[in-house]
Amino acid sequence: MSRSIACTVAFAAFAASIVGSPAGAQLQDNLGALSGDNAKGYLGPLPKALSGTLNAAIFQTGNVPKASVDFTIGVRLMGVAFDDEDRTYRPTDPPGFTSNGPVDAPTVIGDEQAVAQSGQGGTTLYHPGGFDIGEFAVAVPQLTIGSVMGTRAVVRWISLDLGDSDFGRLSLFGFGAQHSISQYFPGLPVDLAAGVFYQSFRIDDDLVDTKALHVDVTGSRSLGMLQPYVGVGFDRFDMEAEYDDSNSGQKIRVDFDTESDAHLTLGALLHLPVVKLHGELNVASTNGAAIGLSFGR
Amino acid sequence: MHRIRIGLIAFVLAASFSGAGCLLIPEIQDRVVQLATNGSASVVFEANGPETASLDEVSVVSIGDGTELDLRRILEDAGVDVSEVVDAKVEKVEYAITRADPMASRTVEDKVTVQWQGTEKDLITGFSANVGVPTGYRVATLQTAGVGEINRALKSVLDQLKAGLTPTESVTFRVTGTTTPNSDSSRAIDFEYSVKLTVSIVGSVSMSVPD
Repeated sequence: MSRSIACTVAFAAFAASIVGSPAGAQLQDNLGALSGDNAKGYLGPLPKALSGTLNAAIFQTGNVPKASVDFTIGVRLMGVAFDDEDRTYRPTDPPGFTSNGPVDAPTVIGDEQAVAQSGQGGTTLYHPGGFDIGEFAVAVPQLTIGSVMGTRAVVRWISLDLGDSDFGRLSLFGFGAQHSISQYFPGLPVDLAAGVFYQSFRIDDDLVDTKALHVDVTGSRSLGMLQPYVGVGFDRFDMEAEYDDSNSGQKIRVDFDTESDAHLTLGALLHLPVVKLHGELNVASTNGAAIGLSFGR
Repeated sequence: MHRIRIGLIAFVLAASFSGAGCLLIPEIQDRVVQLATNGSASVVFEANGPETASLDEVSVVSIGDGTELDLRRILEDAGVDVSEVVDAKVEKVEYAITRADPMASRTVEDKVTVQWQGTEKDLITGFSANVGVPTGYRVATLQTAGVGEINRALKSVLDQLKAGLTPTESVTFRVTGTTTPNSDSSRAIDFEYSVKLTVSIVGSVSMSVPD
């Protein structure tokens, strides 16, 4: 498919979709034959990638008026690139299978080819292929409403049932607020605001269930229509996966280690009449870029 | 100073929008992903009679359409068209004591053979277990000859599936051996055990992913 069509798809997303990880039915099928430990390895690249994308492009300014009627609605596009080392993992022997030696198997973003692992007595265990993905991007609508007592509310929400496609059902809900620090320190050379934002992102209800928390202080200064901003903060990210064992039909639940990372944002916001456009770079669990388009004031 | 700041802003905007071209605007790519799944079937052996008699029990595992190990159904459940199946191999063989012998201390020493075509092949040798208490499934040490025999049966089923046929193959499992104690012909043995065969299957699935 041409890039222009892909762009249309991605932006039509702002009706809006979320173009996320390989998900849904196919992911469930690929997990079904994996033990819990190996499912954790197979999905290993997702927590850092999701943390890096979901926790990006939330706040673009430190300027929060004490009291005003502000309302913007727009879309945020956040993406990260995977490292080559994320493409494989080292599986452990599931119960009942004794391997003759270790193999490197594809993760969910790795090579499409399954890997055969030979075992005791001529047995063979196949590890599923990945989806061969180099980048990971999320698009989500975002609404800001403000402000009262120097506090502005921010909300993200999207829920899509993509039916029989390879993506299944995706849902994201996030809410948070930004509170002006500048109001307590008149005369500061920049606008400062502290923000906190919580998000829940799910693929196929419980297949992948994540919770993200972002806390930061954003500093910005207006230079005419341009407003550079810097955010310094902290991300916390939790992820669980639950799937049916393809053989026994039993539910297998996998808890991933909590990701906790510092988060640095460097960005710029362009104020045009009615329209705001921003771009930013993020140094976090996984480094990435984000852009956004908003309407309102 | 002002020029430096504007330059920095321009750099950030350019870098992020440049990144946007690569990271944020995914193309929808077609992928052929190899999916791995598995399926199991078990055979049950009932051992009863005088304890002085040798064990010699036979049971048959059917592989194919409409059987417990229905590869077509397993593939379809996983979203794999049978024409896209790549391989199916024995992943593991386990055993369990499903009904205990009345004598808690009774043990069994035996071997398990399999036969698909031709002669019987050893699958498990030197098998020894206490059959006086029920157990969950345990790992069995396998012989290459027996595993190979089952793998050949699986390949036959896959070949027939790909050819559009409705295959059913039978693999005969046979247990021979003795129990201990075995000196009193008036004392009966009465236990049941199960051997479970698990097959690892890989097939190709076409799908679209954003990348």
